[in-house]
Amino acid sequence: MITLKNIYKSYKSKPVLTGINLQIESGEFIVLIGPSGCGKTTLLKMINKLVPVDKGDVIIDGVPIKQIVDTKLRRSMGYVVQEGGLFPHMTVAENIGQILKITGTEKKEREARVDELLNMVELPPESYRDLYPSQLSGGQQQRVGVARAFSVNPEIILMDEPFSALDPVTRSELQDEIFRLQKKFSKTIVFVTHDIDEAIKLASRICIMHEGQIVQCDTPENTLKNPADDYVRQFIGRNRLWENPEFIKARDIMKTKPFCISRNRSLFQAVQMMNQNSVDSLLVTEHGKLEGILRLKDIRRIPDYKIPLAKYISTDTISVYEDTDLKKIINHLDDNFSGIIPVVSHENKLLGYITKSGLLAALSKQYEPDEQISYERNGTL
Amino acid sequence: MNAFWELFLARKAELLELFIQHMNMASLAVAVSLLIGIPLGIMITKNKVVADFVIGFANVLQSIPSIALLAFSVPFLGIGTKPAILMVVVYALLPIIKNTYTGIVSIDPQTIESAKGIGLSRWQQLVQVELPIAAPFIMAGIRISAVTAAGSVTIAAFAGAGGLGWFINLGLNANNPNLVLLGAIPASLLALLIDYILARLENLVTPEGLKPPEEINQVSRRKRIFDKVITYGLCGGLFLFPIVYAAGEQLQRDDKIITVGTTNFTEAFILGDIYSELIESNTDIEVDEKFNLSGSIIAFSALENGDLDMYTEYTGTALGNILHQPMSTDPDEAYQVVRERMAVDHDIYTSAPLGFNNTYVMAVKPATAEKYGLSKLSDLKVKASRLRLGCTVEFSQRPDSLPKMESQFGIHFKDVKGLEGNIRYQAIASDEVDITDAFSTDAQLKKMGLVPLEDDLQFFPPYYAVNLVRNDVFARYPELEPLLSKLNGLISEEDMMEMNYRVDIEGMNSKTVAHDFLLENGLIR
Repeated sequence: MITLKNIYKSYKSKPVLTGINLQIESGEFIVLIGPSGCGKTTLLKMINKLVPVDKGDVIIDGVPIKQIVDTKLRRSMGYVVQEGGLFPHMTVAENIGQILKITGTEKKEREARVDELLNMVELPPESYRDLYPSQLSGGQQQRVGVARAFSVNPEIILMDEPFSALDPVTRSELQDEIFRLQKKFSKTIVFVTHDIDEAIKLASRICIMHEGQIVQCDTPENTLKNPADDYVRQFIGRNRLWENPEFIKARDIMKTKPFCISRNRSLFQAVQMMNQNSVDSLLVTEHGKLEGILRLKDIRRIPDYKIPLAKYISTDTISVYEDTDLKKIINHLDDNFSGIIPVVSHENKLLGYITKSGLLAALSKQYEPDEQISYERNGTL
Repeated sequence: MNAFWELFLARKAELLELFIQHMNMASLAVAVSLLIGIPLGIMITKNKVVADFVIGFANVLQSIPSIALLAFSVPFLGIGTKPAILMVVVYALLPIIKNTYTGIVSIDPQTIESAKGIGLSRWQQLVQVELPIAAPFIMAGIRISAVTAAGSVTIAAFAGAGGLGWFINLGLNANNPNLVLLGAIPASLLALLIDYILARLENLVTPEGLKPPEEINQVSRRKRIFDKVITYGLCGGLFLFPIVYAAGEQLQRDDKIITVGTTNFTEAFILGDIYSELIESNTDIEVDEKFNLSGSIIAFSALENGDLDMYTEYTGTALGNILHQPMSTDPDEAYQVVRERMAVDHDIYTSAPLGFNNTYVMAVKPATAEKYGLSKLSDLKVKASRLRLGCTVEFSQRPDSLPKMESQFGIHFKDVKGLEGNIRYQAIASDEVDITDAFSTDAQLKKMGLVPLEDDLQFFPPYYAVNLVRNDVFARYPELEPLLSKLNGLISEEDMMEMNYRVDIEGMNSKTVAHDFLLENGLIR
């Protein structure tokens, strides 16, 4: 666990960080993001003492890092920089094994560990071990950089814009790779980037920084849905959420207060309720739990409205959980979709419903125009 | 070409010795430069302002003329190897500092950043990352400075430290291009050899990973090991040899030793050789020769601080330039003042005059002498206005020379040209000037058959040669006093001019000439 406590920093009397407080739990993937000059890299480098803190404390697992010798602290965490920062005069194996060598790991053990790490980043050891950095592509160099960071099996890994110099395809590959490695080894990763898509893809929490302060630190989903202020809204971009439909959940587009009815009521009461509210279906619930749906078309021809409605409840309808994402919902709709989709909790408690029109309205939001223009209220568009 | 070959054969033993001296001084100077330059180059990488200052300072040092630097350093360091090496170091330092600095600061900041970030200590970062990556740069700097050193060590000869500059200097004095080449060619060859060896070393220290990707690991392991053995062997030799050699010299060194010095022209060398052989042949004292010191001031300060035990000087020079006494044109008076002041103020013994007076004379071609009826200096009072003077710049400027001639005797020449050394004689030979200043024992006077004008005005100060000896020398070696005095009054102007002629014009070795003189006078057997 890393605690950043009330941190201040300025360069030549120009404030860079002004009162940073942040708690990073073990196993989190924290992404620090913001425009250049916002202090994100400075903040990252304070964690391994590459940049001294003017005021405040960095505390790792309860120990202020002021009390830890620089080299010991740094050797206890991985560090990855842009383009890998490999030593050009050393082979891949020497680069990865550098700290192991310094800390006195035996040659045999070291070689075995290097091979293991190369396998981990999917570079076959027998063909890559003895190459020099200049013989590798940018992506391969960065894989070696990542392998080096994992070499001493650190709890914490710091990554300073590691993928920003790579082409989009390689970048995406490496993002997947680091995401996989983080999940597998549950490292605490602090990752600096200026690429919001990268942040959304990787982070468990995104810390958006602006002029030396953290303006919002939250999950990607919350950040996209509830930007803390205009700055964040502008920074993440208007359509960002819609580029990530997996973050739009059923509960975000559902209508609440569905029209419900108990199975003990009669058909007459049901028809009456439909007429009053101009709907063609009712959701049947018992103690708040969804039991099924009653559709007008199924009961229209029934002569006797006095009988209980229980018999006519159809259970073949689909419902969705509140956290089912938009992508999945749309994928499950067939062309004949009409009516409503109930939204339930995992305990089958009815929370709301989605209608065709509601869905259409939600989808249309991503095409919000640049400026507010007056809508034509009638005529043909 | 033939003449050069003969010269080479005649002097090959001496050449070898000078070559080794030369190489040793160059190696030592480079070693010192490395010890200073590399740490300094590393230290200044931490601060741009300091770096600019240090590199700027090294630049300035390099722009100081070597002779000026020599004049500055002799009072502190004395003469011999020390000031010579200091000078070479001053010139060799800049490329090493600069390249070490540039090599380190031009390393990719990401590399340094990650070296720090993964937890290398400052020292590990330097040794394991910065120095290996900067090695090719640093090596290139060392190469430049070693080649510079091999060339600039020729200056050492001016501080009495020998080396190949000795031949170059002899050749310049005697107007003998072959002798100059005998010094210059081996010096250049040495520079090329050093360059070749260090180029191999540069290639070896270039880390494999810093080569272009297509060249990495293209050389077989075996060849690489072979290369390493050869190159490291050669470099080791280059640096170890001077140490072993110096140690050997130290062991051989006799307990009884005397240092004989000379200033930097032919006559001084001959006199030095005469004393040197006189002592070595008649006593068991070993002579350490520190010849070719550039000027009386340097030689005298070396004598005072004990770097030299003796050297020959001229009364006029001692009086005016060293003791700063009013100039006397009376030879006896001048000698007495020198003798007394040397003894009282400097604890230095002045021998009786050796005989000849190497003073200024005005000299003309016999045809000119006849045409204008010139034989005495006083004749110029009337005739000067029709004569064109070609003289050294010094002669035209010194208050006791031309200016005094003009003010005191109204001697005004038709034209005055400031010319250097041998060019005066060429100018008079080709009739571009009619009259020149000369030294009375100058070999060129004899060669060209010039007529010296008798100094009936007692115009020029006396320049009688005397031997200056530290008093403590006679205390250590009492046998030297009677021995050295055997030369007093023995060398006439004709003798001296003859000996100068044999060296300067006939190209003989001054040692041979000195040997012959001693033999003829029965001073050696």
